[in-house]
Amino acid sequence: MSKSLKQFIKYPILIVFSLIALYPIFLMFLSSVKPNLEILTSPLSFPKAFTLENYITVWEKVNFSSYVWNSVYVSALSIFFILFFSSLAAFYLSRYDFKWNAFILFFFMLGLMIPMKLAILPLYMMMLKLGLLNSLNSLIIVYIAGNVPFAVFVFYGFFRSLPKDLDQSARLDGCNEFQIYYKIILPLMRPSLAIVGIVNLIGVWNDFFYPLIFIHDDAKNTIPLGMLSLFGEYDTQWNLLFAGLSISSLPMIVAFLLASKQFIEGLTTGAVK
Amino acid sequence: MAELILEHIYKEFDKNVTAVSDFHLHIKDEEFIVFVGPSGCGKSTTLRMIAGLEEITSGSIYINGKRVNDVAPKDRDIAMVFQNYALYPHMTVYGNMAFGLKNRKFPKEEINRRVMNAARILGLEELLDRKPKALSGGQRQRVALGRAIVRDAQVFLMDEPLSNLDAKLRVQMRAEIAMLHQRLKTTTIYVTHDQTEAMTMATRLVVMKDGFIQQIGSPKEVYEHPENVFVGGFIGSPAMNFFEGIVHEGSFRIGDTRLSIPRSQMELLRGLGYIGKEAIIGIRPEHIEEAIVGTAGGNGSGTRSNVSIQVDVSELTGAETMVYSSLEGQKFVARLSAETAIRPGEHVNLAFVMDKVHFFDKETELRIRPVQKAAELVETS
Repeated sequence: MSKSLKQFIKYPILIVFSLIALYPIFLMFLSSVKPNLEILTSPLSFPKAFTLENYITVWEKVNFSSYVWNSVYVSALSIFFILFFSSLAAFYLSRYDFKWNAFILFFFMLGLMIPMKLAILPLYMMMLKLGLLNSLNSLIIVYIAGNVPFAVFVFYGFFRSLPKDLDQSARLDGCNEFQIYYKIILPLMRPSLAIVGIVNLIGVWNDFFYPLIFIHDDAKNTIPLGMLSLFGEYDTQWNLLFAGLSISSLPMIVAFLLASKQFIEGLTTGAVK
Repeated sequence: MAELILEHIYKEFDKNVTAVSDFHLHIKDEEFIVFVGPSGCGKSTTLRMIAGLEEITSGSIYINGKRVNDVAPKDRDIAMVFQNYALYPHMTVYGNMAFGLKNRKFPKEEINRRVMNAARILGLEELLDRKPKALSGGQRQRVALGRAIVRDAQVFLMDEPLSNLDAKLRVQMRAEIAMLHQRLKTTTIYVTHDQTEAMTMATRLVVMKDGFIQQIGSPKEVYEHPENVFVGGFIGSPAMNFFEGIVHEGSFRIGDTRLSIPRSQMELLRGLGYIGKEAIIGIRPEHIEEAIVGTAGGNGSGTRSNVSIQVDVSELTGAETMVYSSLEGQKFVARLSAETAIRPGEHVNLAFVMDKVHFFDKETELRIRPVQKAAELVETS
């Protein structure tokens, strides 16, 4: 009786919270297929006529395709290098004896505590000196630097839980150090790669602040910054804005759905007893 | 196949912690050597040094006459079975077994032939496509063994391979590993803290404690002639009983109890000047018997000495009864036949078989042995 009651109570609560979380997203998609006037007159109603015109307009008129490309370029490279550098660094820190290991780890942890935005002025000066202002590469560098501490933190914890016997066994099986990382460790760390990847991807993809500071050229805008051009001083094109947001959130949703399996899957089961 | 020489090996962690001290051993081809000792005695560390997974602080390791101190683990031609199996979870059983060969660039047909052969020996043919997580403990253990077999290495190292299995499976796998060794005849070094495993599997035992070798010998030698109190107490189950007392002419006195000392032992003790001094005697539980009614107690009939004790606990294990008691405040256990009528709380007479008693020095805890033999031992070590 109590078990079925628990189930009975559980589902309504879960449904209510799902609705609260999903409703804004639903509203965004809904508004993206309405004309601007209708959004202003009846913001919560269903569209009178379903139209994809907003999407076409935003893609053609607002230089949106280049925003998408810029976002993809920045995100892909940032995430790749964050995962690559952090996993190697954490692998070394957890597996090899070096007397400064504790200090290096502490240094990474320090990076978690200091808000990056405080460093914006020196960063700006630095990019200026390096000639990287108004370049997508400046964003990539900042994102890698800013997100490596968190990634190292997660990976370090993961490697600590991975038995050392696995790499020693691989060593006896004829692997060199990089092969141990590549053939044994990397396939096993897919769940934590997915976690770190998705968390960073969301942050980088949606970031508005750094592009605002570093990028001046409309052709080099990322999606969040590009959306700004739809806000006019007197008039905002809500319909195009929602269409643009819908397009930009789509990759996130897809990525999350793909990676969520890795979240749940415990890959190391059966490695050791 | 392979002959190993471990020459005065030392292992120090940091500066002050010495895990292994002066480990000196010559392992002959086809031997099954078991390192046995309590946890933290340095046996696993020694094994890892042989594998090349730990650096050697000083000393040399030779495999077939070649010094391997600076040879990478993969080039030592050694296969190792880990305590927790260390199977690669993302590979199938076949992949796990083939991994070492693939890395060494063996031709595909050869890999296939070897894996199939190992799978047949270990009864894994049906499981080759499974991942480790879909296997039981015993099956995982077999895969770990299979991974060693396919390599056809010169030396097998096994680091407590059975400790994660349940008791029944452990006995079964113990026999399988022994059979495997008889079949493959690969020089094997096996680490365990389980003295039963050590006794049953080894051609030679290396008993270790605190990083020092305590004794090297065949299981029979080690059991019948323990070099010191530790070895006597560690090898054998239940453990050897020890009593502290004073050596007198013709008898060993534990408080008011007198145990007669056999003539040959007495001569040795007298010769070494132990009379009037403290010593430790060790007697195995099976060498304490029920006294036969009518024989004299105390100063004994021949080589048996009767003592009168009160039984604390008696445990029937099926084939035999373990009787726990104490003599002059020193606890001991006797292994009697299952038919015994002894009950807890009873006062009974037990007979110590004094011919089988071991004498140890109180201070050094070493076996008391003829002087020249002791001198020889110093020389050879």
